[in-house]
Amino acid sequence: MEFTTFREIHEAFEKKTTTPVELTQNYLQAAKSSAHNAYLTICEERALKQAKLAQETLSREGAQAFEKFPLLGIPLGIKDVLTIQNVRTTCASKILENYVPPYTATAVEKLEAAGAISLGKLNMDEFAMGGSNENSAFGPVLHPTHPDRVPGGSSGGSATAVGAKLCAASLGTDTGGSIRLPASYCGIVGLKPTYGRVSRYGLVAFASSLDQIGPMTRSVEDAAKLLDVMSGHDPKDSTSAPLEKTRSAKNLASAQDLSSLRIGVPKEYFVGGLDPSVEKSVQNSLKWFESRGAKLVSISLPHTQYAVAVYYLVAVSEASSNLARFDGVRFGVRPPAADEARDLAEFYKKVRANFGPEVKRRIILGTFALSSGYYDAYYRRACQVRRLIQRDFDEAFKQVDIIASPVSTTTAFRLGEKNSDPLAMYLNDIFTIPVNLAGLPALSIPCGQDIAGLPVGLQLTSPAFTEESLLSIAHAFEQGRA
Amino acid sequence: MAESLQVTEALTQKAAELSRLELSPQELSLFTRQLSDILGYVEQLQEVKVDEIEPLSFPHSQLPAASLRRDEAKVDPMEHPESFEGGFKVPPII
Repeated sequence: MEFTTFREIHEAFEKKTTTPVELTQNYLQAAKSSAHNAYLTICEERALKQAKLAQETLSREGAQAFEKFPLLGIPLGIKDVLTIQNVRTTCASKILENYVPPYTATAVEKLEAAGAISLGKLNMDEFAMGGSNENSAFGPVLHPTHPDRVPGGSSGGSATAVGAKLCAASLGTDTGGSIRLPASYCGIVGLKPTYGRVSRYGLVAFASSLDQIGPMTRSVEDAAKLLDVMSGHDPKDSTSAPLEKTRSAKNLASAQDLSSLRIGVPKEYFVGGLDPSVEKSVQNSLKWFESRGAKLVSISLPHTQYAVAVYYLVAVSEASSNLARFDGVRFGVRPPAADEARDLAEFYKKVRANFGPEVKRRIILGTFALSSGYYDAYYRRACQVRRLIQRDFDEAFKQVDIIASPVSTTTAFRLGEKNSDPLAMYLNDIFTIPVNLAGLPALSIPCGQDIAGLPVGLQLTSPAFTEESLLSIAHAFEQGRA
Repeated sequence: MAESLQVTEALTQKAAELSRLELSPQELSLFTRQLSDILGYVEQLQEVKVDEIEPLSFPHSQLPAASLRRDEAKVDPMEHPESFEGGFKVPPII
């Protein structure tokens, strides 16, 4: 596929070197013949119908149509945790293998209303639980360029589909790093918006106080364009912030003046345990910012060391409650064994046997953390430390405009390397988790490679609801470093 | 209390029962070991001074509350396989 960014696609439409239908056909073909296992469902008929509509609009209105439909003819992949009406939504779980939702997620609906095409539904860790995409009930996703490596998770299909050019961009979701980690491993841009920025209506809930939908793209500008369309208050999600849409794409300027920028570098994030190539790439990025006049400020986020512990109590507690609905009555495949059940408890157990091991482990842990006698010591205490983590960021943002850090301690690891030790996998999320706990926006942007040629991601985090300046700074970095 | 918590198979079994999950003997033993690791790890939270700290369960409580939408009745919201005397016909549960 010779067109990399939305801008290039629209230029090609304008010059008539390709058409929405041809581009969509090419992507569908690439998706069908790929060995990455990135797609769980390909919506060929539906996508081609959307492409034809885009083509008609284009031939009727010409390039003017891009004003009204900023994503006209852009083929997207959608993580299979977001609903599309009458399209199977599995969450990469056996328990939802045949679930066909009667409604479309607001984020997807807005993108399609802006002219985007949904090519299909992307593989992921089951119910978005995992950091390597090895927890999918439908098999792991392979890294776009290094097939012996994981793409990261849980939005692994979304990252690989973008990296391997099986779509122009994708949607992922991020509860503890599930957009930024795979974006970092696969060398693409991934934005987790502020909690509440994008409606969660139609997102199958994992941990409701942490989950956010965000774009995964090949450029910062594309991420900005998707966010601008998806954001804004949604009456169908009472936790969506009562704010207007962002206007970030129009504000991007590659020659942005960075001389007044104060970049916080958390001392707790550079204390050893970092892969040397990750550390070097991040340090070089910081030097680049410095060379453009930005000021680096050493800051402290003193409760960082507790973030993973807090997260794995809060997220699993919310998950144990959210996943109660998969009971074979409200939601969930009813296996033949359930029909033999003698009572309701047995019925539920037969249905819920369809959960994979990581999901079972987290439900059990969450149920324990919320159970009588343990609630105060585990769940309540975790929420108290969560507030301290949020306060760390509040204090830091009194001194700096933005915080820079690695996304992950390492580059993409090998398939099977960590999946026997859940705790080791959880600790991988140490730099991304605090952002979710505090509800902040953050993105991963490619900033280097290790010796094997595996990408390294730089994480930039900014105060709540400041995506416009975050994207602007990231855009300057992307354009300036290239 | 949490400092000396021993994660036993009985404890895992109880949480599994409350979760309506059936565990095989292998799963029970594996999960017990893994829960013990994870709960051992989270014990470090006990060293944080949290007296007087209000728990944070929702990240942006300072935002003005969004106005809630009105409830609206939707007639026949989805295609259902069969209707029966004004209701939906569904498979028996038990």
